Amino acid sequence: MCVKRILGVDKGQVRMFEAVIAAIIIFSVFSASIFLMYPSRIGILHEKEDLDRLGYNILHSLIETDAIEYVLTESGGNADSRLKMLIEEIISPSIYYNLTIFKCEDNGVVVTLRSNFSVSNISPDEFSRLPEKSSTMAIYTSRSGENGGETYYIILVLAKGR
Amino acid sequence: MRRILRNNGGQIILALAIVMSIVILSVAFSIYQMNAGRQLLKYEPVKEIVLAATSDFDRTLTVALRDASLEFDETYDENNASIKGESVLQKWMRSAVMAFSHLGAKMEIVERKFKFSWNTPIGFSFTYADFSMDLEAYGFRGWIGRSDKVVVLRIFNGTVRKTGDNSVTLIFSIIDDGKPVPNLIPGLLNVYVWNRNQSKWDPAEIVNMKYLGGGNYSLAFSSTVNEYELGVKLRAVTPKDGIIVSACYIRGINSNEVDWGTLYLSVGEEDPNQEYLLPYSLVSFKTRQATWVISKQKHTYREIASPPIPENICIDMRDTQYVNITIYVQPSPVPKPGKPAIFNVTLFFYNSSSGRNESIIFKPEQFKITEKQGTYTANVSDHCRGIIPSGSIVYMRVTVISEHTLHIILNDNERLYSYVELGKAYYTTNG
Repeated sequence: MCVKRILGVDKGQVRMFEAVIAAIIIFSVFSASIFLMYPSRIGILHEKEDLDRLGYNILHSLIETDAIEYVLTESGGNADSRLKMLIEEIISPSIYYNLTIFKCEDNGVVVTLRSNFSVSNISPDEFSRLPEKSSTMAIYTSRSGENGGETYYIILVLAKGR
Repeated sequence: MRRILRNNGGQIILALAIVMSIVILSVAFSIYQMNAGRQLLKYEPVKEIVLAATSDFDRTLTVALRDASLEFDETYDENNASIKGESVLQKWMRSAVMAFSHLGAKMEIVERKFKFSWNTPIGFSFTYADFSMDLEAYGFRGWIGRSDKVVVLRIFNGTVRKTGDNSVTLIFSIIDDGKPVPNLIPGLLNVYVWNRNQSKWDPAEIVNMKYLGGGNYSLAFSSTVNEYELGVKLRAVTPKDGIIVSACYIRGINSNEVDWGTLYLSVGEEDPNQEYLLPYSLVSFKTRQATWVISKQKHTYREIASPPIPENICIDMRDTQYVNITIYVQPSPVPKPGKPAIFNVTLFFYNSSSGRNESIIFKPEQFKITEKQGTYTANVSDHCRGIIPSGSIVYMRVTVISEHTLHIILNDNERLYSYVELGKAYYTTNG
């Protein structure tokens, strides 16, 4: 009955009706396409990848320039400020970090970690509230000083400010 | 139906919309699949972790070589030095496995070697090691990393000159992993001059040291020794890593004269009737033929001793991997078939300062003699490693088992018949 009524109307009305249906189809398809093409987490994934790369670059830079060696053998109290300065020279101000150095204590069978040193540019509470963090790590064997031959485990956690 | 077919203008719009939507959806779905695939191929920091571990292994190997060279400098025992170096590598391995345990890291030191050559004009301290690494979390398996480290100290032979009454000059070079070491200071270099009279290395005072570039240094040091009988030993510590390396230059000194590593059964110059274990230089060749007689009827056993050894001697090192005893013997009566002359030989040393008695070098080894006379040799490699400290007296004990009398031929005025090779003698500078 309904179809008969539709078919019974004028040509102009049918064309209008068809155009509306075509527009709805096109709109739906575009919406679906946009949904498919932009997955919701892609931005965060990219962000974490970038932070990971940055983290490993920072660790590599600190190790190869002997900055870590200097910090570990430094007997004075300005080792942390020097390390902070070095890190903050590399990263942008919108990135927060926490770098912790653990000493690997080996009793011949089991290795345990003892926190040795930590620097950050944000308080622990604020840092924990940041949504996406990247954690990178490296091991470092010191060469000189009284800690010569000791192995350290370094963890660098990075996060982008909101 | 006919009306619908006649009204084809609007239907074309619909058909086009449907075709467009199919195309757009296909493209969008392809992009979606690419994104999904890209997420599967997301960034995994395998390269960074493996390279960081390899880089740290290089540093660890440097520390291991430093500790091993320190041990070798104290004991002159390559075996002990290797153990020391390996303990550093093992400790690093445990720490690295623990540090990367969340990634399912499996690591193992596949091969390692520590080598020291300090008694030639080109001396070196060298190590290399291979380690394997798997990171299960990333499906990464089969990585083999190799690291090596070598420090070379070279005394240029042609440059050693005696310039004044009390001064000797020479040119030497020190190279660390192929790179010249430009910052060696006199405090990191020790010079020793061979004291022939006392058979030991005496420290010499550095008068002048200049860097010539390319890792080369000119050195002047005080010395009163004869220009033609000069022994110089340099011991350097690399400024950056603290690795010890040494090189030795000897001119005009017969190495047999200073070698306590091989001791000959012979008689001494002062007392031709007394048998000794002597280095070549102290053997008397004035006698006709010296014989050491051991008879079961007269002795349960007999011992022959060396004079006190003036410096530490390291046995089982480098070229000689065993203790060798060679004895030229004539049993009496001549052994019959099936009834050989049998005797045991034991080698040991006694050191009064260490308070130890009879440190065995060579456990009782049985010799069976089936002929009228001949040279009998025994090599033992499994229990003869270590140091004979300076001041020790080395003894050889011969115990006759069968009912024979042994005539061990020592030497005549031409040659030496029976001897003990303890390995090469390496003289440590710090006792």
